[in-house]
Amino acid sequence: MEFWTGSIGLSKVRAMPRSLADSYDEYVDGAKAAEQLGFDGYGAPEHHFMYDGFMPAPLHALSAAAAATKSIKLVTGAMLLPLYDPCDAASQAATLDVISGGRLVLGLGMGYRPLEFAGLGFEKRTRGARLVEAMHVIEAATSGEHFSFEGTHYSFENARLEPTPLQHPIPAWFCGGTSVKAARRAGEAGLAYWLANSPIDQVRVIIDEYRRAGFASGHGPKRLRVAAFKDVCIGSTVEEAERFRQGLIDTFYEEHILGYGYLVDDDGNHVYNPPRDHPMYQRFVDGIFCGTTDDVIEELKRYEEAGVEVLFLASMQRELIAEKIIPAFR
Amino acid sequence: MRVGLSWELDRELPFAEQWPVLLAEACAADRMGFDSIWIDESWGGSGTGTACWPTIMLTYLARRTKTVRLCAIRRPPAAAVARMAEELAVLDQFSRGRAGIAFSGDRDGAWRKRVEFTVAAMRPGALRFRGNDFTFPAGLEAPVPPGISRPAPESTYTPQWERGPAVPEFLAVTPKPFASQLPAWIEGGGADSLGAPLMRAACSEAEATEVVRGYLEQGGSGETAIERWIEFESATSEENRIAPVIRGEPEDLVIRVRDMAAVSGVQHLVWRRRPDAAHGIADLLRFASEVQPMLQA
Repeated sequence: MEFWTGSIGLSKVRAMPRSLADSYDEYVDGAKAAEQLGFDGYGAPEHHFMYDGFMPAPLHALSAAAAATKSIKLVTGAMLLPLYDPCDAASQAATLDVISGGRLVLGLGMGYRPLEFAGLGFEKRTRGARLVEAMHVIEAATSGEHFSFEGTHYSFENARLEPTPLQHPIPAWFCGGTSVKAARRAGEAGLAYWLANSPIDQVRVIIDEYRRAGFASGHGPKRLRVAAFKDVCIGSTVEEAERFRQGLIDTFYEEHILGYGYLVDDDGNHVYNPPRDHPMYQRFVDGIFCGTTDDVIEELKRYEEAGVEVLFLASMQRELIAEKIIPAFR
Repeated sequence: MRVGLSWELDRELPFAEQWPVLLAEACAADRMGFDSIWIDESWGGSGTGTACWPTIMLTYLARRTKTVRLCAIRRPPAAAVARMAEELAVLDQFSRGRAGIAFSGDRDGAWRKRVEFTVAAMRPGALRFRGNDFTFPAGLEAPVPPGISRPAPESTYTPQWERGPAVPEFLAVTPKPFASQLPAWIEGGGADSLGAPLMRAACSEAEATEVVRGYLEQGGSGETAIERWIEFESATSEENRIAPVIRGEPEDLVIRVRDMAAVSGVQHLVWRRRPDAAHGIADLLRFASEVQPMLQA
């Protein structure tokens, strides 16, 4: 099992008032700390036109992290690929791959906020299909000298990527949220799948559907790999951990999860500002696991048994996780 | 006179072999007190520049250097135009106000609109833009006036996270830069309201002088820059006058650079060079210790 992490920040988070430049410094310090603590990867997110200055350029953030680290993997989580020309994205990724000594991993999401598509001039309706095609383009472009691709949305004939990356191909994951539909799409395309925060029962449903669709489409287990975002709150008691979770929700997640339409119901509709007892909201809250260190180890072992090979723990309790949780999986 | 560095790479060699040398030279230049690092955009295997994505490389350097200005020489993008302002702001934040931008590329009406948009997008507040080849946000139509416009003050304020899925007519490109305004240059000059001229190594000294002088005579207040190849070795003054390379012993270099500054008024010399693992840092040290003090004097 690999453990990746990241920093809440690269923005002016209300819970932690500070300058944006200070949050950038903390982000780079976090990369150094994560490497020293033994994490395998360090992430950077992407959103645009946010009032709080949220990071819009994850490869740039990871480039800053690369300058301060030597060995930790540098992970976009998630880079919103339908908001890029895929060859530009591949070229930017290859640039960072070279600078970092071959440490880049691409977590690639489809995006969901309408104003990001409008602001950057891309169609939102086709984002899922374009994400799949663009991931195939990046795989082809970073695999060899020349490549061709013929799809519905993108077409390249005997093209050549500049610069040539160190990794062939640069590893990439399809970040599909918590949606069964997205998991099916990734499975059918034979793309490694990265789940968002979900309770373990939902995780099992999503992985089953991902694998079923993948095998049915002729893809083998080497391609059908699973990673998961997993927020965990650790306390000396469950109640203490739940208080910590409530703080995390109040100061960070509510705005993101409720205000921007991140939650998607079973019919594919984005849910804005739902009541707190809405099943989608409850499922998200339940996906943030609360417990003692032993409880958390037990919970994460369930993920391992379900076939998750990478966990992205975006926790503010990084030291505790490194000291108490990760050793149980080594 | 400020002094910076830019690099031309060997197109026969992979970037991966040359970038580590370049990055080491950039870090050494920062330690030696050089004023600026310039990374220019290059595509297609036929260009002479340094990198496809200058701001990614410069953001790396932002965390490896302390004082040197980090300048990207870039074409304004034809699609996702807002990204350039975002990336420059991120570089500026990571470097705490050391980013600079030189706009390059073929000039047409769309080029100027994209540059104007990028500069405006880095300023505080929200904006919209309606042009022939792009709008920001997408889909703006008349009666929205052409060009850049800013919102009127709102009588009631609705936080962004309460607005739901509707796309507002005005959007703020975020984050904003650390500095209140990024220094801006125009490759080849000729767009004085947008930035000071950066005259590249390929242009003749006569042309560079004419453009720089013209900019200053028109009251331009930006820091004009001329890029030149520089080599340490003996040369006659006659050779220097006609060659595209400023070449000579340190005293010769000082005389040539001071003459150039006196004639043109240029304020920033950019040393065009090739990454040189064998001699590069020694050359930088020689320049910093033997040439730069006399330029300052």
